[in-house]
Amino acid sequence: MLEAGFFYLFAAMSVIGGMGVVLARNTMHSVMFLIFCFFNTAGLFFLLDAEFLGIILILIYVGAVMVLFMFVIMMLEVNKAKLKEGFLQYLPVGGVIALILLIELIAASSSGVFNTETIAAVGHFGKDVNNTVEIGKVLYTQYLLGFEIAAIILLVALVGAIVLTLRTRKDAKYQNISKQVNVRKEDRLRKVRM
Amino acid sequence: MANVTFPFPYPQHLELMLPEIIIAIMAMVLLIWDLFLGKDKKGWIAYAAIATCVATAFATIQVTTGGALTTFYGYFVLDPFASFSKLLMLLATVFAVILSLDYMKDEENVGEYYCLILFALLGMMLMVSANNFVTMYLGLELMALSVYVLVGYQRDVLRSSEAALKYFILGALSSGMLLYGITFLYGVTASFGFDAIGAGLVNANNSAHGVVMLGMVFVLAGLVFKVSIAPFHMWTPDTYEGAPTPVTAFISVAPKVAGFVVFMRVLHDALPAVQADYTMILVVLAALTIVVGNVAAIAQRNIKRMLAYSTIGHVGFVLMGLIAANEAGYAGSLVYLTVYLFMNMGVFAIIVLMRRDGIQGELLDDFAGLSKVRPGYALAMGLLLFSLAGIPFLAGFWAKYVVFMAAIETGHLYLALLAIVFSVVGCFYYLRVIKYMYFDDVRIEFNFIESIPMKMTVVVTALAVTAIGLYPDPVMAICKQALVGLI
Amino acid sequence: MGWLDMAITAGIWALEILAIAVPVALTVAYTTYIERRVIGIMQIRKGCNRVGPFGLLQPLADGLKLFLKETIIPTNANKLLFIAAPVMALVPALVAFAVVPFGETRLFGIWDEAHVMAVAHLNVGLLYVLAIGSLSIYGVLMAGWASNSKYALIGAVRATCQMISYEISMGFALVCVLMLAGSMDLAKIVDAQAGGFWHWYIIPLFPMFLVYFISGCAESNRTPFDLVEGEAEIVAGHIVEYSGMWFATFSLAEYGAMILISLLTCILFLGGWHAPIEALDFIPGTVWLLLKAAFFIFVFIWFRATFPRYRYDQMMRLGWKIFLPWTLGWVAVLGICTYAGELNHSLQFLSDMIGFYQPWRS
Repeated sequence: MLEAGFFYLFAAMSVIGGMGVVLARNTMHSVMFLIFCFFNTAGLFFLLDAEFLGIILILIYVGAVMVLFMFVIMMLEVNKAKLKEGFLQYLPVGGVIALILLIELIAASSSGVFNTETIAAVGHFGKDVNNTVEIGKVLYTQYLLGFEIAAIILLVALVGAIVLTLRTRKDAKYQNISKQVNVRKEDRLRKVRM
Repeated sequence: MANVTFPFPYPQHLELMLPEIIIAIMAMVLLIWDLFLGKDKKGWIAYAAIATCVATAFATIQVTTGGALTTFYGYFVLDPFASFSKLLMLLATVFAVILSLDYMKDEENVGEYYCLILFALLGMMLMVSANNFVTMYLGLELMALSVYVLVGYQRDVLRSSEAALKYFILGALSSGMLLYGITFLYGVTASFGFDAIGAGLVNANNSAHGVVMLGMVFVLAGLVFKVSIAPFHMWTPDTYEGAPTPVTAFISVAPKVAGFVVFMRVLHDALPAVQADYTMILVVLAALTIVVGNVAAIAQRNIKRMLAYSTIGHVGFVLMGLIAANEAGYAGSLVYLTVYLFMNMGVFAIIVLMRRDGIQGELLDDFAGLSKVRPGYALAMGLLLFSLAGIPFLAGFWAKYVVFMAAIETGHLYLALLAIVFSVVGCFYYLRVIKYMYFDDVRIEFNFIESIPMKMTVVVTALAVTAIGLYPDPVMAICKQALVGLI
Repeated sequence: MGWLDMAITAGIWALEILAIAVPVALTVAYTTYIERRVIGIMQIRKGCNRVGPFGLLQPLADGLKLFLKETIIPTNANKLLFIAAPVMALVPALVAFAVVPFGETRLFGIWDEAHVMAVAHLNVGLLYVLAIGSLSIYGVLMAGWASNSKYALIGAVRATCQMISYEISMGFALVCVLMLAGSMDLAKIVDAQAGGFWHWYIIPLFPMFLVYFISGCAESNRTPFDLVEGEAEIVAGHIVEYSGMWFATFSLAEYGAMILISLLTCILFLGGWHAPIEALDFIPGTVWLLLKAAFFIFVFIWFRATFPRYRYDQMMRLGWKIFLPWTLGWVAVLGICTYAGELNHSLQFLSDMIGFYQPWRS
């Protein structure tokens, strides 16, 4: 009972958050809505006893990804009102596609495949099973290859970001710390016989 | 304290991954090595990349056995099918690196460029060795991410950045669709493995049909984007035009091979239960792709854009092999991809060779009178273009022939007829370039790059196209053999 | 569960929360007092000594003053976020205390088993602390943006860079702790260090201890990493437009974070509530924990009195070029040591050495 109540609370809040992202006029408010949405999604994970996933969602998305989003938005001053110009122009096409997808999704999800009877009860394993340990076990055995590839993807992202943004400026003066530290009296001081 | 078995069991038969391991390590080594090289010695990195590819090719041949073997707890499969496509991609990478040799001379960040090419290659090699959606998706993302960066490599060129951004946004969208489709298939079968999904779908009850359809459509949409099949081809012309030419050459061949191999595996292993449905969709897509590609190419004045649309057209032909969905069809697609590799790489090599003031001979007009200045290049270009057009007794003809025959044999006569009509339409824009080269007067001052490896590329590709055209049997036989593991 | 039971549970929760929150608030108040006195002594002057005996009522006077001051909201500020910002800074700092275990208790023998004294005994406590800690950035970021002032914005941007940079090395330092303790439960991490100071993780993880504590300084914007609010260049950064209560909220958050970092340093590296030698166990564990934490709070103050502020690029260099390689290296060393015996029998001594600190392996 209580659990269902919390589920509907979190679910409704994350939907509201999602709507807010799209509808908010101020970009900063959009970001705040997205954060709100993530929090509620994390709440849904907690209800499933998947505390590891919930916390990781907050740690990675709210704590790191969204901070960078916000950072970029602060720097760019995106004018959302201007972006929304021409929104109505594409509304019919986009709307029709969205509607078709919605109908298909409803048809698919109500087809009985995802009923509680057909899918083995998710249940609350969480009380006896430490799901961090369990995730660790499959991640480092069964999904090890995926894990390794993901690591390489991150490396590529890192290299790519640096390649696309780093330009050494010719006129900038860079400091060489070890040189500064290693400087000796003789290098700087010259005794002049008067 | 939770009971952890320690240590975890090591994955067995790791040696099957030797080619991937070599590439991954060498990519990182090149990245670091670049820091210690002087400005004038950066070229070494390119040669090291080529050496890596050659070594990897030998390693691939060495570890391949007659059957399918898996490693990494069954999440990586090595069969002749994967090995053959790996060899194709390695060859494409070698060509792409050779084309970049001169191009990278006045760019910064040389090491990163070759490192990213190798990582893209790694992603594709993992893709073709994937027997499940996890490895496939991650390999695909690795390839895609590297390629996004490569496309936008000339940060100061607006066109390049625009191309990268368009590619990135549409690519992310299609990845989203792919993932969404996978979740539905996973929801029905509770598995990521292609075989397990295939078995699960056969046994799935009727009520699941809608869900399976939805999953299939999304997965197809995601895959179709990666190989630029209409109506998901929009990114292709812009990306091809904006990207640095060697990168265009690379992405016009290697990711297509990887994409089609994955496509074949997904269709054949994971979705046989819904073959009737997907065939219907693919027939429509193939027809649309062939029409769009060949018609739109006529209107292009920029040769890279024209080749982009020509790629779309060719991809439509390759798709016919998948529609046939039998041994001849899949083998035909592989033959097509093999031949296409040589044709396209040769054409791009000539485009890169015609470098002029930083812009490579990009307008069709630039080719006017080429035969008078450089008859050799004109001849090679002519051969390659004839082959692309599918003129008989060049490689391109046989490639088309096998897929058309496969389609007709499986009862897709109308599709084959449409394809034949539009390959005739396609001849127009290829022949137009030849007309410029042989019958027009010189309009610009040519300024060729003098580079022996690049000239060799032109010679090798032109010879290969002619040789395969005259004697196609070995390639066809190899491609048939390479299907072990798929069928 | 009946309504009465639920009400009782809720009541107990409320009491537990109060039992943590009130002492934290008091400690924060008196940390400011101690800070002023200690810095005073270090700089050979008196410090505050006028209000009450030894100036002990000074924090209350300060609080009253700030409370009564007018709150000024700039005209062009985004009002909602301007007011929300200090709250968003304070909440994570306090919420993180929920999982901090202050010791084990049998409640004077009423309970048979020892219970961990924490509001919420999570088995991912460490991750929780890390996650909540990473949220504190929002307060600063929002304050900087909502104030609509360039100094505030620059301060916020600096803060973002700083926190993101140091969070990574902090996280890796914690990974090292995890690799030894084999659990993310803070109480289990403490238990893994039981049995005398030679079991404490400061010994195998000394560099990580330094990295963690220094990164903690940076995370809580304390000197020498307080360039977020460098008054000489950017006039107090993100708090430039704040006054009165809202200003006080920011410093509450800062001191709360400082206390939290001190407590966590003790829990993760210094054996938490365990005495250095078992003979001293007659002193309650909580006292030990608080004593150790008090020492680190003193170190924070000591830093402030001693070090000049880092320059921006120096700070980034320290985070990315020194801490990050060190932490990554240490993770690798620990991993290799753990597995060495499996790989090669002659390297078994490495596994044994590290196994001494890994209770999950025996």
